[in-house]
Amino acid sequence: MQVEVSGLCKSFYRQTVLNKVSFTVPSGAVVCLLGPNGSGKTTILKILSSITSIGSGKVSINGKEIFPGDPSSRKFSLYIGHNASLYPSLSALENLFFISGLYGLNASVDKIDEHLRFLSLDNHRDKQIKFYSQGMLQRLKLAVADLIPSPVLYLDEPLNALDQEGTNLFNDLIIKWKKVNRTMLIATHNIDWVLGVADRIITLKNGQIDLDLDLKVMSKEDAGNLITGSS
Amino acid sequence: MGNLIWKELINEWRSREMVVSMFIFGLAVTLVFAFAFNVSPVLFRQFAPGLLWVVILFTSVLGLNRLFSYEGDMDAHWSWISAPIDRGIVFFSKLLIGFIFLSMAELLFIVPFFLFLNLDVSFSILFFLGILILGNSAIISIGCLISGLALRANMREVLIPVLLFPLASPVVIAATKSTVFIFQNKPFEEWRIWILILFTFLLTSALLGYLLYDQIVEE
Repeated sequence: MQVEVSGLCKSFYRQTVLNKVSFTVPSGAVVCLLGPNGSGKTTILKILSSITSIGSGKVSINGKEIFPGDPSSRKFSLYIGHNASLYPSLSALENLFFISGLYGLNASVDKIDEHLRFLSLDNHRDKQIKFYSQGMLQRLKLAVADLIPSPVLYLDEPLNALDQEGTNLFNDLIIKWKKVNRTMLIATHNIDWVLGVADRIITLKNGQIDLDLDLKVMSKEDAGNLITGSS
Repeated sequence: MGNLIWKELINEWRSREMVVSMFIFGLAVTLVFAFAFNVSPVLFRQFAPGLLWVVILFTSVLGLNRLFSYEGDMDAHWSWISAPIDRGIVFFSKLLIGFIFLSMAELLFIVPFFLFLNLDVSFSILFFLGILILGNSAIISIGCLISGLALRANMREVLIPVLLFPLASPVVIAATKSTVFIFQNKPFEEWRIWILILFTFLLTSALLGYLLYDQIVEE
């Protein structure tokens, strides 16, 4: 599913956070948002997933405009934020069961176990997640993304707190998700990792698009030089 | 809806914060009233309904604060805000759970309230329970609407009572008046206007909550 963003503007307390941001995430592509803190990456993801209201502009998925008040607008996408967005008093199993219910899946324990096992969390599935380490929480968020088969994924800082094994598992998941044509928009700071997985890189500066680089038509080295040169 | 209620019940079962804190607070205020007012039981019977609803209103603030504050831990509320569900259903699940927990705490402190304040129970228990159910649900309904507004506010603990007390005062007045009539065993026809006022507030706040929750919870 293709995500189109056109003329997106957003202000908080009279301060402009996004200023006429337009881009397209083609179906099945991995598009990464790069930019310094406060450049508007998280705000874009939160607007696309209907957590934050649209100031002005238009967001559409497969040509269908998204209206925040319409639940059907949210059924194609899944947002995995930089915070867990899960309930600390619930166990991993209960959280995944709850989330799957929100998306109308009502996943079985076996199905949830399968996703937890992939991320090496099956031994901790009954532990309340308030006792999880940051890395374990990050893995659990990836388990949510793997469990809910929404065609569009918005991931905010998915590499935070992940160890090398966790990063490798995440890379495996990206390959798996690409095979099933999931569209991914990922906000991160890790340029090296982005150059390895992205089909396209968009850099933001002060709420505006600074660079829009298609890695199918340019080398990773050139893209890397452009990004480091502009920042 | 069942999923949301299940989540609320598990959260409360694990923490036991809401019902226990509401019960202890209700009991403490009842004891303060019992020791502070040194008047005859006849006089007490006249203003006991007002005291009871003040205790219930204050107690509800504790529950409402907790009912919504844990949503902010780990930004858990983003899970349902970004999910393809009608957010109005979340409002109703909060309303139902808030009502159940307030009623549970109330059942625990209402017996000591009558015992410590030397109030006799020579009135219709059925009417009394009915007014408790109606009053509780109206207070919680207004409270859930306000708590949704205050979900992301830094001063949520202050904001909820500051907004709830004036907005819920017609409910407290109507519930108090109805309770006075119930305590005096007056016929229903004499006080049904207060029931109508309570119903109106409950329906209006529930409808507003359901319709506005979409906009309220969005950043």
